[in-house]
Amino acid sequence: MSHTKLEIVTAGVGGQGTVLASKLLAQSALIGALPVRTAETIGMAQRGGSVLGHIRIGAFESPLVMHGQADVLIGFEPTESLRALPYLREGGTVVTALRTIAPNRGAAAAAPAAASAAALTGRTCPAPLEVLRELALDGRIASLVEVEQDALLAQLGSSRVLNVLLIGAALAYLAPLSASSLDAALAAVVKPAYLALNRQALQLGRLGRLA
Amino acid sequence: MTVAYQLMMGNEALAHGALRAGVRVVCGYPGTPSTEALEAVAALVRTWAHKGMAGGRGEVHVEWSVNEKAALEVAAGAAFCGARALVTMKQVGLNVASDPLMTLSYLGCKGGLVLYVADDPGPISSQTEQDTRQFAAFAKVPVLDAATPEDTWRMVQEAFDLSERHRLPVIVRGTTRVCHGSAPIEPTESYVPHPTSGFEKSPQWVTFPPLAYRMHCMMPDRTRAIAQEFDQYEGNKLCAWDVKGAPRILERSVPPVPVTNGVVASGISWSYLIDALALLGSQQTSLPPLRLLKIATPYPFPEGLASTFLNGLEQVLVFEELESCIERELLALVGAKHRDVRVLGKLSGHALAAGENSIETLCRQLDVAFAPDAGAPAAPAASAAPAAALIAHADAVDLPARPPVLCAGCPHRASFAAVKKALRRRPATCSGDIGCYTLGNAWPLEMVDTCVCMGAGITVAQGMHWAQPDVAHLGFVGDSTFFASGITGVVNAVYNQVPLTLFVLDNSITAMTGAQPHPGTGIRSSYDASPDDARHAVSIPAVLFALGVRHVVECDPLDFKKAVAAATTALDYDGVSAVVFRAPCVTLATPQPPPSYDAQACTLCRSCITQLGCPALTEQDDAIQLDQSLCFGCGLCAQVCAVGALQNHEDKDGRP
Repeated sequence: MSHTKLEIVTAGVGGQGTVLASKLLAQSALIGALPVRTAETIGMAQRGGSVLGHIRIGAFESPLVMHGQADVLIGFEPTESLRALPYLREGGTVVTALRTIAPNRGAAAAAPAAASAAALTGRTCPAPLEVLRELALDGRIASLVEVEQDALLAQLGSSRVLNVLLIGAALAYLAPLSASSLDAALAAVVKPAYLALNRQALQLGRLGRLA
Repeated sequence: MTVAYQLMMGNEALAHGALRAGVRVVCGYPGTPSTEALEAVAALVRTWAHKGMAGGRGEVHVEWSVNEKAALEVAAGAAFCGARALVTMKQVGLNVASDPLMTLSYLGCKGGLVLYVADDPGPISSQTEQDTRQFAAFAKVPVLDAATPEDTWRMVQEAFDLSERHRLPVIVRGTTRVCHGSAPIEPTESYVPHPTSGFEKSPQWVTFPPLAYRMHCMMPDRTRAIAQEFDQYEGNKLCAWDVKGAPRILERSVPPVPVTNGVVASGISWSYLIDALALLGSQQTSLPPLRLLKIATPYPFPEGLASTFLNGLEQVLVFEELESCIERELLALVGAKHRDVRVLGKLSGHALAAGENSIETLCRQLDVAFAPDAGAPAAPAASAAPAAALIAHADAVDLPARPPVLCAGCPHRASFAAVKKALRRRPATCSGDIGCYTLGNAWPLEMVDTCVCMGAGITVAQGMHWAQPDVAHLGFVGDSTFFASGITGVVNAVYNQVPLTLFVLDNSITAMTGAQPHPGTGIRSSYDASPDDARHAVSIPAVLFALGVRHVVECDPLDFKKAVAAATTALDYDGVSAVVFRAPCVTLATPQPPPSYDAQACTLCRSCITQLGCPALTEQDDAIQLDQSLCFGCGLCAQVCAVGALQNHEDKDGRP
């Protein structure tokens, strides 16, 4: 029995492609003949709510990552990265997208005060990213990878591959998953018409440039 | 290397298992977290049809039925003929199917009849936290409780055999983390139909009071026989855990090693228990050695196996989600056998009364129940301690909540906004029901005042009329829900002459559960869409007219002026009136260019935000911000902008 163990949490907003990200990571484990279990948010929360994906690689019986146990947290949005932080283990890795998505905040949006602007823009005090950076400085988060997705996605000419871009950026921390097992996972999971684009996104995330 | 196993959700695993068992008829109604089971069957059948393989040549019938009651009755008919039949639904769907289920428990079946019912602890996507294990006991039909996707795959196959052996329906129960959790599963790549013997006429199939009495008399024996079978069932596991290493499976025939503490778990809680013990075993734990029992068959309860388990124990802790089914069975058993065993669980306050369990909650509760200083305040599991500081950091920041919201471009938003505008200051109540449109409850639409169950908006509005006739009472229903359980309510209004104003929100799909077709579309689940489908589509306006509704208008809600006019006329109509707001869900429609925005012309009246609540529209830096990545180009905001700051493209005629 292998003692390999890797626990990953993905956090984002419904509609950002977190479910496919989980699928890719799990498929990649499967290709490497590793035992894997996953769980994703499906249903009402997918309509713009906070969504989480759990990927547990190793000899586990249940699919949910425990608080304080995730090796890697992949955040699709800074607020969601911070919201999911309790899952991260001390000394874990955070890979986060930088672009904020404003929560749809009902009544707060109606209030004329500055509070509503803060709510609408998703700006909180202190900003989620500041908290993550502080923790990284303290070494509590061993590695914080900030992904400037706007520029990178513009380079790819598509906003639909943020999930694969982030996985590429996280790849260095995802052993025993590898570039080749993820590439094979892409081929197995992504529709052929989008495969080339997704391969580029994986590469761009991993190397910061297109070969 | 070749990947023999495929990553599958519990729902997909169940579909593969059912086809492996040679299922002939599969029916269901969409409902989270069950939906993917029927979809996976349909997808496999389509694939086999494309390849001209067995299973794709008409051997397997797959249908989204009009509701769960219809689904179970269709499946029962097939099972009466000796065919294997599967019905899929979520837990509240079983309420709808309970009428046939209760009688089928008396009549039985010939071919295997399996119900796959998905419970939703949390609840994450449901209106109740009801427990199907309890429903099975109520209906006196066996239930197998899956702990993993591997379980759903195996159990559905076992359930067909069990159903045929005892000639009665069998339930396989999943819960969200099993249904939507994924694991590697052996795929079913070919199909052999289970032989179908044909219908044999017999009084057995006709329920009459004398038959019901005879069957009821036989039920205790039947239940006992199945319970004895379950004592030997391999899915029920008796194990020992001695702190170090993984739990070991014990031989049932051999008296277990004497220990005084035991843990029983059912469903996903068993999976959490195994992981919790592995974690605690790897750390400094003060837990004593434990005897473990996995109950995969909550009803009928395997009393013989449970008695063996209880031998010599002084204390037993029970982990189960939703109701305290196992805990009550154990209490009854302990009472009946005069055993001196403390049974701890939900009833005693030692386990969560509601919601989901987790490895964390189990670690805590094991500690409270079994640590030497039991009774002391709950100490956090050792493993959770390092995380505490990171949690504190997340809590220190007031993170904005992110409630689910109607998608940008959703036609329901337009429908609600139009009716709201048409109402002006008219006192009114708006009764809705279950679907994406329940989200019309949120600010700023605030157009769902009640939500009970499928189709209830139509009938609740009628009761409100009799209690409060001077207020307008509006009913809202979705297209799929209209067919599922809306039609009888409309007949009730026509017959009883209630001045109901009904709004049917027709987006041509069952949207909330992930886009399934319904009778209004004519599209069938296991066939490729064809132009011929439209001929078989059931027209909602034609149904309404045929039911006696004399004012029926169909209208595109995204043509806002016309939509407001249609709503106003319907509200003014004396009698039952209906507006069918028809525009496709964004999952079906093609996105259009966003409107243009002129910051100079904008007076910052915010009416686009305060009337619509579209996630693509926000205000920042004294301007309206239109999020291009979210905007679907529905054109609604430009139509409500009074000063022309937001403009649709000219060739769009107000609506892209």
